[in-house]
Amino acid sequence: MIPPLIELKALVKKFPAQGGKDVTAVDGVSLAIHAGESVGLVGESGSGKSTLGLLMTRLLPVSDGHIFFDGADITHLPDGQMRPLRSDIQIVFQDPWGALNPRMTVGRSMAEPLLLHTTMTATQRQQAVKALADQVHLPQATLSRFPHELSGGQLQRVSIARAIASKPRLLVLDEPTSSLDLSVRAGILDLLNGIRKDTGVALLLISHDLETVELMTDRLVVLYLGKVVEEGPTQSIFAQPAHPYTQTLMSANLPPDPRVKLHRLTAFGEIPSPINLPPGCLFSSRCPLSRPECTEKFPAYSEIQGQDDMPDQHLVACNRVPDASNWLTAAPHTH
Amino acid sequence: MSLLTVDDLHVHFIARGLDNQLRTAKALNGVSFNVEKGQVLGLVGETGAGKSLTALALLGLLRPPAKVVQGQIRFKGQPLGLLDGHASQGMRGKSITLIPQSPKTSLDPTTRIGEQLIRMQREHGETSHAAAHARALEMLASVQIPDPAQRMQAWPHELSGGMAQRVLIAAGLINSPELVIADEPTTGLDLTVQAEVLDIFKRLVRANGMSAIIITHDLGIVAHYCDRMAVMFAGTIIEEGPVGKVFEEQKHPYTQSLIASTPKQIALRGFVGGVGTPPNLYDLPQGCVYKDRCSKAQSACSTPVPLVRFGPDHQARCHHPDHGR
Repeated sequence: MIPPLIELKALVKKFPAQGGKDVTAVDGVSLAIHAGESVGLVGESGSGKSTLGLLMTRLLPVSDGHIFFDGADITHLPDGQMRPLRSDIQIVFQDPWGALNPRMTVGRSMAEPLLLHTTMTATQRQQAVKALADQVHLPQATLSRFPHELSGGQLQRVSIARAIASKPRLLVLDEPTSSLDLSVRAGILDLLNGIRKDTGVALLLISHDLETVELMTDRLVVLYLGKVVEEGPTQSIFAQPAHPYTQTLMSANLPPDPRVKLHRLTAFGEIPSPINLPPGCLFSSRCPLSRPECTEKFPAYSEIQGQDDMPDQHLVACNRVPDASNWLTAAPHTH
Repeated sequence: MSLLTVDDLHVHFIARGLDNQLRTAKALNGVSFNVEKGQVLGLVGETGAGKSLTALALLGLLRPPAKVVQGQIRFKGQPLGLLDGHASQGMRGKSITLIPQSPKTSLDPTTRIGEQLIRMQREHGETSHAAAHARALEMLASVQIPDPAQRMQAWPHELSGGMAQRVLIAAGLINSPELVIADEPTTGLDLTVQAEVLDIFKRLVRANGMSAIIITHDLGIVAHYCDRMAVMFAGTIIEEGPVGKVFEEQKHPYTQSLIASTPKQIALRGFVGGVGTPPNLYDLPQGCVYKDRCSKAQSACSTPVPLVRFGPDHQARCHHPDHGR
């Protein structure tokens, strides 16, 4: 069997906090992305989604657990051995203004990955940069400009061009459109879809925007305080969010269509502090369906039976799923 | 009579460039709209469209180099002073209030929450400290802040983003304004927190019969929390109407491309272009400000743009709006 393109096994990341305590930002996350697949990672601030993106790209050291790329353990690969792999694993950050060197022309920024990862001559690189600019629909004239002369949408196209320059097999996108205006955002999403179709690159899309994730991904992973609470085919989770947290999250979405009736589900209080998290289900302190056993240990993953044609399992970490009492009742939304 | 009437408002920024030449940025170019009593208007548009600038003008907070070159604003029939801060001081903070965008930087970091809420009332004529204290407690409770008596003693840095935004809503409504302007009230908040904050805001506005303007770039917020919507582009309102009607049958090509840019519409119909940079405010095109981005642009678009009405409450500024779909 072909191993997944990238596989995380019980990945943990702790950051030191005040008073000798630790913040566990990512707490035992296991997930796999296959070649050419598009996976969405959703969750709110503090859920650990950006940290997970940095761990996967080996931009942050791992505290515990393993990362496999093409079946090989790369968790603690030294920098020198990691370097050739970096052409395969690329990342695009949220803030296009901060992601580019302000003193380099856009063209030179785009040539950098080629300088690092290929043996091209200077002339070949120039040709390749021009081709990249065409690929991301960036006017050739912008190549001689500096980042401050470009709009946010254009800068994000430059960041994407840099990321795809080395022909990666995995592209991690950390909120690639959340700082962009709606019409510009649509253009970037269209570009990413086109790149995926043309190159077969696998995507990990980190986003808090449910509409974007629904449009762009095949499979979805829902994080809450560093733990995966639900994962499965995007369609299946949108049709039937099974974890009470996912239900709450989805019910807070505001579709840009006044005809869609909202059914707001609310959890109690606010997301707890990630320092000294309690044992058991991390959502139990806010969950209207919480039972005593929910505070004892993290629930086992149970499978949701979906449509037969769904290739991937839909898994949920909730004690109330086995007896199907996991549904929050929706109160109709009234103004 | 409308509660608020904005009539042909033109705001320019006039400043010297590096070459020492005076340059004029035409930021608002004939903004007109009304807000009726009890109504929530959504002011939507992309970055730089002039949404927040319109709010500043309503609050009398424009300062040089901004200059009102034309137009007026009437509140309950009375013209508002536009540049002179003192003239509208009585109105601002009392009859017209603002809920600002960034909760973490909009509260005074050196003053406890309760004291700030009390001061806002004393500034606007409340003579009894005890009454102001009681009202502050009542407002904190109404925005569903747990344990309001204790939170009165809290410092702004002790609040989460969602809690700070609730305090700002309490502050914006504490003097029982007739019109409250919420400028991107939930940008930067998580989805579930955003929903809670907007629900609280809408409930309080409705319960007290207030009018509101919600400034946002999020069409989801407009769709679910506003009665009417006005779409801005390059300092002009290019379409205005009831939310249901505008979402169902957009008349202006810009509104059409905006709604077609939402992920759901892309999934349904595929990606439609219409993307490009907004016009240079220093050098606006003749006629329609949208024509350089518009797929329907013709030579007529360089002439002054007519306001086309579609029934009594829906209108668009376009030479060839979509007449039927």
